[in-house]
Amino acid sequence: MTDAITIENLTKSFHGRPVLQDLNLSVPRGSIFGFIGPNGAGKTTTIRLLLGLLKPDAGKITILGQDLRTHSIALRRRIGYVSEQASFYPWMQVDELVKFNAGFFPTWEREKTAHLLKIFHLDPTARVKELSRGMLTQLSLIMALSHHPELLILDEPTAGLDPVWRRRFLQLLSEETAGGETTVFLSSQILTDIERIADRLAIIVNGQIRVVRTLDKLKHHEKIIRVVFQQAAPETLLNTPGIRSIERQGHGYLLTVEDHFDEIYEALSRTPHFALEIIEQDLEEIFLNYAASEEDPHNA
Amino acid sequence: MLNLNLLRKELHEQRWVLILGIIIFSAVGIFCAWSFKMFQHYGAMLTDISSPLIADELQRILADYNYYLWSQWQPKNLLQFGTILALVLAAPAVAGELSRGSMDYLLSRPLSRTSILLTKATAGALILSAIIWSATLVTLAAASLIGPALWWGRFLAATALVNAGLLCVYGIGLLFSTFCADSIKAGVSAGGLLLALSGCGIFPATRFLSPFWHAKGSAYMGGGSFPWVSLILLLGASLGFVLLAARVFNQQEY
Repeated sequence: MTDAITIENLTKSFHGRPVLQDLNLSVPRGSIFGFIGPNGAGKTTTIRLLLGLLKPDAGKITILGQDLRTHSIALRRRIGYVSEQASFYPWMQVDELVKFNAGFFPTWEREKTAHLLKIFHLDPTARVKELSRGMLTQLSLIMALSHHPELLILDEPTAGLDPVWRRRFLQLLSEETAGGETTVFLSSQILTDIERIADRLAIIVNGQIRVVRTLDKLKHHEKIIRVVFQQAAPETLLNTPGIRSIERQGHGYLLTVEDHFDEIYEALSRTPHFALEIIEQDLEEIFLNYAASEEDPHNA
Repeated sequence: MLNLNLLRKELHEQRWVLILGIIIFSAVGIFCAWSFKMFQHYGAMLTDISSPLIADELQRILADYNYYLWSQWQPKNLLQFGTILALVLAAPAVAGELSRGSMDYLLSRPLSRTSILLTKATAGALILSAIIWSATLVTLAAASLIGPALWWGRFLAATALVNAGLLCVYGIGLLFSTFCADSIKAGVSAGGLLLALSGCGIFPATRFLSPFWHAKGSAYMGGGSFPWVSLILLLGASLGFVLLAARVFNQQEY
């Protein structure tokens, strides 16, 4: 089966300033894919390119097996989208907006919309301008789910929501995509959200993908080893593939290992040392490590 | 090319402009039809007019109810207030989506940008034309009750010219709406261009550039033949501006 999203050598600049550089990414079908990065890393630009709202300078995007350039409109019928700041027509009532939106999607299921509106206690006769930000995000998700999308793209949907709304939002998202028929591409800076629902993630820094892993592999295989050698650090050992970054702290070294952990640890333990310990990391620390290594070249 | 779902929404959104437009324009039209006697009374006092051209024109307006009604309605109130109305309808068509933040929502629906723009243009043109024709028919109905026999055919043909002129104004407003980030900027910029074009109407060598000169149809109501060239030019320019707006809308990154 083809991937839900394939991005090949995607490049985009604004006024000569590169925002995405040769970006490559594959999102498997049925996955809940977290897309994280610091502010200005290129997350929203990538999403706007995926939706055809922006045109790439170079590169190719394939969604659900179809070229986005030539099948943009047909693909949008198969995609649900929740933007960072859900903005609709303030003068409309909720049911008017839902009806208007349904008119664009032949697969729209009215019963599902009514059911979801009920779950979130959203009054169909309320004006859109009367809804809080949390309610607007919920409404946006309901509209994105009601036509049974094969791909759901969410751009920082929980940013600015209080913990109660966030929890409700993620719960609904998990329930609705539990069958694995919908692929979810979720951009967020709230790493606990990603940890809660994603099974795979990519970290983007300065317009380039730094890592793509399953969440499990990233959390359990990406570790930091602190070692203090008895003699000069063996260069060949420090250059072993799998060590992503090396930070010197006095006589000791902090090695960030992203692969071949067992082999590296064993080689280090055979080298004369005063101290050797493994420092476990959570997702936030792993993310900060990637973001910091890009900002500080001496740390790489 | 047109999306009926979006068209319904656009018409629904502008329904108050339509209702208020018909009421206000009809009221102005009825006043024009009713005010002939008052105009004759005050016009007769104007004996000290130095320009023979203006004096002749005034004489004709005072003497002929049909000519008076046309001069007050089509080239004056309908065209002038209609220009403002056309800009009020066109300026927010695209810029309004940007300023209220709904552009992302609209552009991520399964619709081509050309379809979005042409549907918006159609809705605007329908509302504008509905106001022009409703108010003109109300004006003519009132005039037929008040004054002598009307030149119905000439009035209706002249209304088609004004309608085409205002569609051209609408097209210019729509074009500016695709460049500008807010409706006021779009309206003011389009108004500036229209002011410059209306200035062209003063000079014989450049007046073919003015949509207002073409839309007035003065020679036709003065007894001449129907200005088909003006009508075709205005309709062609309207279509041209809308297609240009669609092209710009397709290329813009919002």
